Amino acid sequence: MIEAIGLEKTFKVPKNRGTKDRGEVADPRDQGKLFHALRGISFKCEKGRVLGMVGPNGAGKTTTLRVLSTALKPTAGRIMIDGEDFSLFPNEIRRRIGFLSGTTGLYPRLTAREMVMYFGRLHRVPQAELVERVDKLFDRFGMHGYANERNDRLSTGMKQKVNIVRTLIHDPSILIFDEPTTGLDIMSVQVLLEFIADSKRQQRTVIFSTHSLHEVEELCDEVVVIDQGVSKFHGTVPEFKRLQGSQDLTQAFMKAIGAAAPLDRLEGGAA
Amino acid sequence: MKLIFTIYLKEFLETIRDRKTLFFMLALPTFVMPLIFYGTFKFMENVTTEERQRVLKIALVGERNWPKIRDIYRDNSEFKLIDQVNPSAVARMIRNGELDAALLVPDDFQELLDEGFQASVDIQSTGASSIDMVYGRVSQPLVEYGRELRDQRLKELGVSASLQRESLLEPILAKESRLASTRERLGEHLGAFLPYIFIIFTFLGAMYPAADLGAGEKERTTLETLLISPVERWQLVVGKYLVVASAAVISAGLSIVSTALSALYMVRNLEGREGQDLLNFISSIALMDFLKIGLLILPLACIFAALLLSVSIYAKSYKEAQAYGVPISYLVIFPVLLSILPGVKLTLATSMVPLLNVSLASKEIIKGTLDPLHYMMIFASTLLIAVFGILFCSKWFQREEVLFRT
Repeated sequence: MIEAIGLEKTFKVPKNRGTKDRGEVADPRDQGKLFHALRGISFKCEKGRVLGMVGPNGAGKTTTLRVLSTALKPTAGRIMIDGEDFSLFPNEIRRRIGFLSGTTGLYPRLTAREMVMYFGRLHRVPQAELVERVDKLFDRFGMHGYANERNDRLSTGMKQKVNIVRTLIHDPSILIFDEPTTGLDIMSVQVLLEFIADSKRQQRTVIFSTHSLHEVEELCDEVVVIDQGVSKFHGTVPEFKRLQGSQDLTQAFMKAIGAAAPLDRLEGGAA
Repeated sequence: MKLIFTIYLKEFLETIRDRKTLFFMLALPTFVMPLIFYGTFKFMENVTTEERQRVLKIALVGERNWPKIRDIYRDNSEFKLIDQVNPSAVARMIRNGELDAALLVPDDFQELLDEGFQASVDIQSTGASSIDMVYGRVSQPLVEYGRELRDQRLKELGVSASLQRESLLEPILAKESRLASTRERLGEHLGAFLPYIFIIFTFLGAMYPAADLGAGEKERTTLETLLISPVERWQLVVGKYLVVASAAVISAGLSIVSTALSALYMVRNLEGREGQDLLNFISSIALMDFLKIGLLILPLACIFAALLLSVSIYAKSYKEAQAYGVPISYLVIFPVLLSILPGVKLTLATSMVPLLNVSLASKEIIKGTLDPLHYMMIFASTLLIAVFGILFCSKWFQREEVLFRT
């Protein structure tokens, strides 16, 4: 189980980067020299459940996931894993999570096996166990045919599998995916969605951000809606639809973030 | 320690699989110096041989003023006499290459000779080329004939013994006696060259791996995955830093070895006293001297590694990191160039200037005149900067605005 409690993240804004005084739509997070990217994000995801994170571009999804994965330090708030506060022990969090984003790259000059072995060693998996795990995972994903090929010679789908195996090599109990299907072809998307479903069956905790509400309906037990750095809703998908008074998830989402439905916007524009 | 070694091995493996890095780390320092030395040597040798052997076209202008001049050049196979040259066309013909030289005999030449005075022949040639042997070759027969004439005149004056002749022609002889050994003398000139080479190669060897290990990691979008591995950030930095420093040391070491071997090859092929002096000079530089220089390269490589890795991790892309490398290379070259200037010596003040001190110390090592105290000071100060460098790099690597700079 992983729980985010009141996560806040503030960045210093580089000079000439603020939206103020540029005639753009004001963002309440933009405070001149400071940008409050996260303003109190809270949610929880239990073991064996999948939590979908949705929100418009720039809402704070990636920042939230980066804070959860310890790539960024939160300005305030806590990260609890299985009821224990690990906010001050990032390495303990890192040992328990596997992270994958749609843009995560591979080391081009390493082979698939070398890459996975490297991350296994960084996670201090004992050598004999590591070799065994690599073999099992390569079996499971049918990767033995290109295990010793350099990553820069692999197809997109093959690379995606290498990345999945890299995520799993230390057997994490929590998996975090940041828009994992972005830019992938249909086959690769299918491999990834099956992998998420399989992770749920294996009782792992899964959090993933996506722009595809279809993926949310298909895979997620819960959903958290993030907009302008705050979590506007956290609950099950049916609860979300009920609360927004719409059976259509897209309409419910548009209502939650206070945006007009696309058709209304078109009509408004025509008038 | 085991984790740092794991990171080091992986980064090193990736580095040596990169052709561009491999070129700058191994190929360039190994082959560029032999190519420069061998190429220059061969070129000079060919040009000199050609200049020495070709038949020179000469014109004797004013020959009637001293008919003897034809006898001097007529049977010499090194020259081809071009007759009936109009004196006003001489300059043009030399510039056009129709003539290599013209010997202009003045009207009063025979008269001056007969009266026992000194007479001169004007030898005209372009003299524009740096390897110009025309004047030397054309004047040689004339000088030899002049000597014969001199000895004959002295004989007529009753001076026949060679000792008597020398005392008459040169009553006071100023003899130069240098206390500096050949090693010191040649070291002063050539000693500045070696540090110039190895400092540049230390820098070049570090530049490409640094760009790859920092900005390259951002560009390939692998940095985030690495940052969320259960490894302390300083361990990541040290692993990467050691690879960059290793590349710099390998590059510098190869450049020193290849320069020494190339120089030895070239000197062995040189003839005469100069060649022997150079051979003695190179032979006098002991292995210990190279080790002393090598020991100075270690902290220097660490400084370059820290500096370039810090810049690289700040850069958003490999290209940006490389672009930052160019102005930094000027900062590196400038103090090294200073050390080549005459009059810039190793003093207490210059021993505190980074890079300049290493360059000057290397020169002193090659000359065999380095004060051990200076050496210790330079090593300690360079090491201190290297330690600050790695501490800075490590802190820099922890800053989110650097790592996630967009």
